[in-house]
Amino acid sequence: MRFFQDLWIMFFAEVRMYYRWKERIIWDILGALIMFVGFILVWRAIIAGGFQGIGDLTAENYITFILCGSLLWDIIYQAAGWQMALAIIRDKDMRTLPYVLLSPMNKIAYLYAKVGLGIVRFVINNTILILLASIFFDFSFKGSLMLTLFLFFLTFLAFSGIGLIISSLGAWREGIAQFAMVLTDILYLFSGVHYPIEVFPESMRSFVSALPTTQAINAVRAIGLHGAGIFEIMPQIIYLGIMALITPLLGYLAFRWVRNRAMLIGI
Amino acid sequence: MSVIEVKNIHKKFRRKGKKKSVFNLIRKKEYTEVLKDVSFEVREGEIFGLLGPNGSGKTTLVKIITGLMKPDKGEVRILGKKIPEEMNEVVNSINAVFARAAMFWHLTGEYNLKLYSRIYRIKDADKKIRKYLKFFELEDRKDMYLDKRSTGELMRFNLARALLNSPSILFLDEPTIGLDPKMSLKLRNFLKKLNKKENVTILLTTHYMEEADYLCNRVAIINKGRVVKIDTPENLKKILKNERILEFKISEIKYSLIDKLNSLKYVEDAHWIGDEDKVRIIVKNLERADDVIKFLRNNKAKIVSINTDEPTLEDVFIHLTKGKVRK
Repeated sequence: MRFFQDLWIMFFAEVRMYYRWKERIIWDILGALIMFVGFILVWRAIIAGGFQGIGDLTAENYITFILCGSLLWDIIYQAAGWQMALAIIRDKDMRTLPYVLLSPMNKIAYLYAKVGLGIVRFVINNTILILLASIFFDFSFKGSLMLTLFLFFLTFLAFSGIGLIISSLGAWREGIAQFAMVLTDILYLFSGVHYPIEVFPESMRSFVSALPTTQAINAVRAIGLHGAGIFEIMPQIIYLGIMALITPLLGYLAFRWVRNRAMLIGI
Repeated sequence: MSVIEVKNIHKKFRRKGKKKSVFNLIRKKEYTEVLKDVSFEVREGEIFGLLGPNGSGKTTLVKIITGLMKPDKGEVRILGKKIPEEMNEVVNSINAVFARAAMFWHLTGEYNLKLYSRIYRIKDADKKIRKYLKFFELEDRKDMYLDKRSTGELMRFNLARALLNSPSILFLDEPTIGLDPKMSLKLRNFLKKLNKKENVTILLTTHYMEEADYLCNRVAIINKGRVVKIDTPENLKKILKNERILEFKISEIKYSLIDKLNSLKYVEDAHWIGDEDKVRIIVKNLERADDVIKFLRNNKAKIVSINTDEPTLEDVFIHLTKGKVRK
């Protein structure tokens, strides 16, 4: 109970701190929009050159294909990316951690509140992105919205455990935040966020397919492009469900271990 | 009854060691011992001072006691609970102010106080917040972001935060640092009142002697990571009861003169009070005053005034720590 109450309290504080500068809303949206339009233009040029498609990507559905990948990637990035690790390092540098650690606040809730801010940014950015994609581009999403939201939630849980591990390590050694960035980049490279995994050589496919990021992206594309139902994406749901059970637990253990280590050095 | 027990605390920090390989890539593991076998107890309702020069280990010790840092050896108990293992059981009964810690910079002072009162689940929080904002004269600054505030104002907001949960034990690390003299005095009086009226146990670190003398029931003098002496300020002053203090005001004082004075056999200790251009000299008896004056004149010191004085806690402190402050 304390966890959820503290999460709520800190989540609002985090949102308040981030949007102290209101113009951040505009820059966040513009950043997401420019990246999306950039990929659209690249694929438009390729398709204009006669390319008919590869894997799930076709000349007709490339906008939905890219947006599905972008949405899922943003969830993963917010949950497991280096946002949380950087936020902890920032708090450490700004010397705000001692009072947090000394208080009765649930420390895991404190970390998850930082992810919560990422989710707010995700919702704001992507709602506008979807609206603009629907108005100005040929974006059509075939599947169930509820199933998509459930998949997003499961993906968030699965990757937030990894985020917890990385942010805990970041609180101990600042240099580990860079590791989080590299790990995120590796996952981005191999998961087919903005291109189909068929671009990889045959020998790499099984590795690429086994990545949890690829599984999650494939699932959302199955819903968005083909209108897949829950049974059709069940293997991915089971895969992410197992991850959602294991990684937060591992994250919690890492947090405790790192906290003990960090206390030897001092916060 | 002891509410804080500190037993045989040892702490060392790793430092950058000397290079030991030919390629200068591998360094030896070298350590600096910052706390050496520190033990003391703080009784319920007491104001206990940790007095020591900069770098003596005071803040590290407070961090260890409050569970922010683990000792290499030794044990800390607060209200009988082992720290940090059983910290959750006492976390609502304690609070602390650290000289080098901050609240959330990107929130206003008032929102910070509201946030912490929610974290501590404080009833009648608004009333308390209003009370402390008024007491610390922060009412007209409450809506400003903390990154725009001065050191003194930040300290006052921090103090207000630390009092919100009505702690039975309060840890204060250099609480008057950055405060103007008026606010320092006000805070000292407030702490004394808080201790007397509400029986709040206070552990404070300071290097202001007058603060320790005025506030503390007992003082632990800590130097180079060791507790040199623990006693009441009155008893500590008795350490120099047989010695006499000569206070010279000297214009254009040369620092080397203090070293020369300290090398004299009949001088127990000589130290410079830099901001007042005074030299305080502890001698065994006043008959040696003539010798001191002669020595100063021989060394071309321009004596402006001479006074005799009672030993202060500062004299004792410098005597025990061998001239480690105000140099």
